[in-house]
Amino acid sequence: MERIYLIFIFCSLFVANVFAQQELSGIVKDEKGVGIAGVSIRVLPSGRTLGATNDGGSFKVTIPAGSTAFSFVHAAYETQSANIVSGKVYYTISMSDKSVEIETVTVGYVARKKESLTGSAVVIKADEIKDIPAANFTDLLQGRVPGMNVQLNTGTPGVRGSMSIRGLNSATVNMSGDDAYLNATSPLFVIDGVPVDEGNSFEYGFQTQGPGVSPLSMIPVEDLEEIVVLKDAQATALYGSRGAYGVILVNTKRGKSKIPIVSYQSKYFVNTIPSLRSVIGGINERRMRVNQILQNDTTYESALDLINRTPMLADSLNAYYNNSTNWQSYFYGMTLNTQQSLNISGGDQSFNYKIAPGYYKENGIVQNTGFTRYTMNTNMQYRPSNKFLMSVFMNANMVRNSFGSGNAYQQRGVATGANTTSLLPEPSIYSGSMEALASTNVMNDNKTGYANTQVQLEYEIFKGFKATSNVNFTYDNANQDKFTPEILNSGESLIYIFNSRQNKLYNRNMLQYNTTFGTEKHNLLTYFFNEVEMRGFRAEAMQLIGTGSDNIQTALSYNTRDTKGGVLDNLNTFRSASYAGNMTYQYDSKYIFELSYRLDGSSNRGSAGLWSHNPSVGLRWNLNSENFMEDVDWLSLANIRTSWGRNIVPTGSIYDAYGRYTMESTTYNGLPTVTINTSQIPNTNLEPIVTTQLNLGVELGLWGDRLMVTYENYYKQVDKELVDLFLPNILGFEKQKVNEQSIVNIGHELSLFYRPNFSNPDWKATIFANGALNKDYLTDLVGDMRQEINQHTDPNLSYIHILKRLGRNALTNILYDYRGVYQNDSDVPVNPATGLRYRMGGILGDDGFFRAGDPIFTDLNGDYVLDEQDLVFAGNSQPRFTGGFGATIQYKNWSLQPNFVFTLKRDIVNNAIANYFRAYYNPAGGGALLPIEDYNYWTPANTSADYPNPFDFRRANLINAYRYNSTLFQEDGSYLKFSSATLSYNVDRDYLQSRWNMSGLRLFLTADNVYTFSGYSGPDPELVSALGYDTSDGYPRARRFTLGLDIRF
Amino acid sequence: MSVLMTSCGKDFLTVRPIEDLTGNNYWQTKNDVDMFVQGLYSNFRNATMNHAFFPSTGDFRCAPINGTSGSNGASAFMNHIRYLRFNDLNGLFAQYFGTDRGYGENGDYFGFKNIRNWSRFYLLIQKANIAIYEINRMEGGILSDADRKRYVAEAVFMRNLSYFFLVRLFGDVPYYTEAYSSTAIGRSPMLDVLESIYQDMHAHYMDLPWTYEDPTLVGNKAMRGGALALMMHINMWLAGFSDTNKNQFYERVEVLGKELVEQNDGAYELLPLQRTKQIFKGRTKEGLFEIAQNFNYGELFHLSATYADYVLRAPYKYVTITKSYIHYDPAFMKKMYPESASDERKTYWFEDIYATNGDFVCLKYTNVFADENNEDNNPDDNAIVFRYADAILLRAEALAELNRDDEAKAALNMVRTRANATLVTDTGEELKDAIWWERVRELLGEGHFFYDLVRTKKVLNTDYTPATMSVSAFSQRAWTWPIDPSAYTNNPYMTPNTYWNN
Repeated sequence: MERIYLIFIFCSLFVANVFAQQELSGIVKDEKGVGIAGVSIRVLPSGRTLGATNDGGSFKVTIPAGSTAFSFVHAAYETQSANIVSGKVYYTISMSDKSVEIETVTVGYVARKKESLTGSAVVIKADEIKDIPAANFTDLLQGRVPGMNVQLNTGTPGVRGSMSIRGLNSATVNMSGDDAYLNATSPLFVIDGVPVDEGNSFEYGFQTQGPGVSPLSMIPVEDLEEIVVLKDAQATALYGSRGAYGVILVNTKRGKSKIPIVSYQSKYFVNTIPSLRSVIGGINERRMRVNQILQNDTTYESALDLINRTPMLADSLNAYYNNSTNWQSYFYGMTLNTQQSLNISGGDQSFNYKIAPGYYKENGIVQNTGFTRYTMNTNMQYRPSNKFLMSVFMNANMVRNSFGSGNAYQQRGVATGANTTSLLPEPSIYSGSMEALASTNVMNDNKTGYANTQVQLEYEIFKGFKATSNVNFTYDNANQDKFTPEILNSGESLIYIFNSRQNKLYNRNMLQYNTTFGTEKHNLLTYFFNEVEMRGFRAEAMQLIGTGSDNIQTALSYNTRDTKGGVLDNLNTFRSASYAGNMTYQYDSKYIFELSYRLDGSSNRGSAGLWSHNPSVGLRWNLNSENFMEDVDWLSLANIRTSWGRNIVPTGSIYDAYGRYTMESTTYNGLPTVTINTSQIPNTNLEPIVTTQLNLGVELGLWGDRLMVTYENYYKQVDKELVDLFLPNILGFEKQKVNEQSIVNIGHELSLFYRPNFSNPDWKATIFANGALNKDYLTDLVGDMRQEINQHTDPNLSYIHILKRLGRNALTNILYDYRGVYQNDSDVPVNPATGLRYRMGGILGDDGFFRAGDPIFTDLNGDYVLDEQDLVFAGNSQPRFTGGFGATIQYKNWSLQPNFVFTLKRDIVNNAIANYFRAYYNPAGGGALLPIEDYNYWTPANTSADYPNPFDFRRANLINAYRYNSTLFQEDGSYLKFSSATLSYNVDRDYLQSRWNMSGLRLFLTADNVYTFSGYSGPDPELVSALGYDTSDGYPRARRFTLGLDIRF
Repeated sequence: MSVLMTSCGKDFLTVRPIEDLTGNNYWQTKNDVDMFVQGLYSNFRNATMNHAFFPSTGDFRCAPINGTSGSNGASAFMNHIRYLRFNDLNGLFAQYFGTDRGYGENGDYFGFKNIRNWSRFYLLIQKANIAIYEINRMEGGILSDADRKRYVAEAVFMRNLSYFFLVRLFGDVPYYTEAYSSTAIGRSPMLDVLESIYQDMHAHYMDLPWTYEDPTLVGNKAMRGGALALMMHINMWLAGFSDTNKNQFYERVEVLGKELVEQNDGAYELLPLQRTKQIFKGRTKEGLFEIAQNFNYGELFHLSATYADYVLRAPYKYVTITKSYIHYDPAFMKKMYPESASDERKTYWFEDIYATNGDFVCLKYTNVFADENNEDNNPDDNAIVFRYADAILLRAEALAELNRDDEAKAALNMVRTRANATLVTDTGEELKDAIWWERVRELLGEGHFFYDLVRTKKVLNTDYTPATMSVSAFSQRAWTWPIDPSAYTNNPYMTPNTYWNN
């Protein structure tokens, strides 16, 4: 809380120089010395408007007591302020013409004036985010773009957090139980004008093959110029199918200064470990186990018997529990990391260049994990005449990373091992915790090389008519070497080798025509382009068992019988060809009408209809250009825009469309036979997923754009999602992939920017805040179903099932409704018909009846039996409200940038806590106990408890009080995160120049992932899967402190 | 321009995966077609010969059979002999829900659940539909016109054969012919289905050859004779269940049978009984359609699948099996093969024909080439689905029903002459009766007995079966099999066979 106070103090610092009420006068002139009429005069700090200048530019006002400065505002001039000086009664103010900076945004590969856009685009300048070290720039966008939900749900170095634009795009849950994950629907990234697919082999699910390094994590943050997030269909339609889930445009820096600039940025950052869990340790654990048995067994004799039959408990001198190690100190450690980058650029309009080498090294806080990146990004631009432009990009990057014994998302071994404090659970050899050894001794060395080259040519054939062509080639090569020593693999070492390569050729050719006619009032911009992409992917893997010695870590093993290897079945060749066009008509820069259309063909599609059509239309009304708005001077900007559009995403593979034919193992009459694979019937009528989006946006600039308000409202419908339809047995095939699942997202987004006006020009500040409210609804299910339950294959109901029901939110948990603990036996309801107490279903005998200390689960159907009929629908794993706020506050050379992000209303299933308690189910068994004394659980002495009796181990498996699928563990995962703060200092330029011959020096301190405010009982409400499961075996996120400097020559 | 785009785009956007075959790069060569169509026969084998299909559905139901005491046939393991004799299918299936014998693959050793579950036939039907659709839309020049028609006709034959089997098993069945069908449908009336499959077969049967030059294919691939026999069976079944217009169907049978006998170009003949082993080994001029089995290719029926298993003993089986598992009621046998009548079939096809002590043997399938040192091997014989004699007798039956007694007798006596049996001189009802008994006599153990009982409604009559059905049971379709509950999954239109209360 202290940190929050700090901010308030900063905000109130500018109160100074207070004056009493008095009358003041003066004149406001323009640059030529002519008085300006109609300048409104406000007084600070109250901001009250006191009056306006007369026709001659003169004014006379009475300022209220406590005023410190004037502010002069006029639509056509830059706002000017003047301090009120004691004793001075006449003021001469000079106002300069408002410099009109045309802000352009590149949408659909064409740079456009921001005020002509009909779609929804949010621009993030790299300067706003560059001070936070990150392997992946997308992590820095958290809380910056309303409607873009970024959850940093993994701390694995180099792996990005989850990201979705405008709600839930897919309701398809893969796998089930703890391993369930949502279909990934990644936005399209367009990097320097080239679409980049994250591809299927990157970061999806838990079975990430190979190094899992996405092309996105190859981009150094320091090399970014700006990031544009396109959210609605009008903005994304020109990107076709792949833009259905939003488009993120990334532009890297280019040279523009005539004098060559060398800038160097250096950051050192410390990753600190989050608070570790407390553990019991050694002899205490044995005592706890013995006590639990003695106090909770059915009889004393039975308890003694159980203890005596468990040698490690019976023998008070045993080595297991008389040693104690906090393994966490071996798994986790603070690390020092660095990011270095150099940017050399220069040139002028006709020729410029940039060379940007970079280095990033981050050691994970989990032993044996890390991410190191070497980058060399270059570009050059040549413009011999106004008609011709050529630019070339050449980027070569390399990444080395290691996941230790885990994968991109999980460190299951470490998570399990961290609980252990003793030599128990015993390993196969007397060596302590296997997980501990695995995490430190598994050699996991991944290399990914990425080369990306691009040539852009532009030629203006005649005025307004331009032709551009763009050719890009990328190649990436990923390799994984993983070696598990024999001690960790039942006496035989294990080698896993993975190699993949992906190459892509991309070409875009565009014709563009821009003309103005009819007294310059009509403007028409049209363009047409085609895009072709060819992509190939192939991966090979090899697994060798047994090398004879741990010193031999590769080469052919002696155990050739168990050696596996070959080309993985995810090899693919992909081609796409697209044609797109756009027409934008503007009348007087007031009314804008835009139409675009794109045809997409891809080799993934079924035979029926090769092309998918992506139309969109947008309208915009720049209200502030209207005559009647001229008098409304508090409103400096106003526009309304609306759009409708569709993105059509082809789905399914060639096998889904045409079937898979396989040779049968049996012959007939001695002749070979071929069958069509009967698990899935081909569907040549596979239709693409259709995303339809309606968008309404209002942008307002108030008081000379000091307050900018953007409100957007959207309706997004995702139709025809590809799902399995199970077929009746008369059709031979098991199932069919059909396009029958729809979800609708409705949301509101609000974004605010505020630049307060300070009387003291040493002070500057920008404050931003944004938030988005999204609700999803399931509107269609496969095969006319009204509801569907995604079951875990394991029929025992302790796993969470997911309900999909029409009209509800798309993904609902199905749980037992926990209502507390029975304080006494007499609190258990008794069935009046039978005289029997409420009991567990499926269990005969006295132990099945609930008693004191047992959980109260609602008996939904009133039959006095708890069984699956009593499950309730509860919870929504998707966040309802996300956003962030922050500020940049500058005082002279000092600058402070605090940032906050929040997620509100989200249900998390805290399996981690459930596991704490479940460890007590079997005191005589393996596993490790964790201390639970912080929780208010039932004991005979403490009957008024929140948690049921954890020690009743004889009945634990019958009653299953700590079942995962209970509302006891479903918690609200709302949080407010103080995500980062940067304090920086710019050294005075004149001093630098004279003393060091530098043109700039900036020092900064950054803290990120500072603190999370949350009522959630688990370690981190953000560190959960997309379905809201907190299984505690994720990679914790480090708190980081950075010291950095920027030098410019 | 869009034409240009579409045409050049299509080639550009067609990717041929190299790791597996897909529908858009299959169906390119004659070999593709051949192997796929070949797979249909394999499916039929899987639908019929992986469980006790022919014995249970055709030979044992309502038949005067008994488990021989002292053999496996009397053990609880073969309780089904009794259940089938008395048409107690609920009893048959109930034993697999008990605690001692699970309904799993092992508990139900004979695979009765695969009889009530029709999905294997429907898999074949779906695949045949796909084959027909894909072959017809293949680019020209790959297949000659004759080849294309033949492959289509083969698929049509396999499809209609499956439907015919389904109708005989379940009565009304779902019927569809479109390829890649993915819609749930209900059951169509039996007679409509039969008429449809007859018309379908009739439109294509001429594209099939009478026989094949390659001797290994004879009888093992669809031939015109098999198609004719199928259509004759379909029409006899239609006639049996039609109250009016019966003659129209008998006429069809007669015409088809006439074509089969008189125009077959010497493709088919009744072989001398001395060559019995060969006839049932398969691939002879007597076989019209057979299911291939071959030990050398590793193509074997399931042990429970053959009739021969029940009616063979040492020396035709492994030495420890001294008794056949079943024997027929002697009274029934004597009625079929009177002791006094001369008939070479008694000699060539049976040993101890009236025995009840386990000496009874039916020698139709005895080619034990497989492994004489083990019990658990089938005779290495094809399963005969349609045989020339079967078709001839169907024609005789139709002629008799049309009151063309002389022609009927001529047809009947073709079969009797081969057996050196006395020629039949009866007329009218007696002739019809003689033809029925001739079918039993000739086709015993070939899966026809129960169906002949049903379609002639003789199953109501104690003269022909020891386990008669009541008229009401018959009209409630007690002759069908219960439909497996899996048929209701994902299919709201499905209805049960109510007699079996399933």
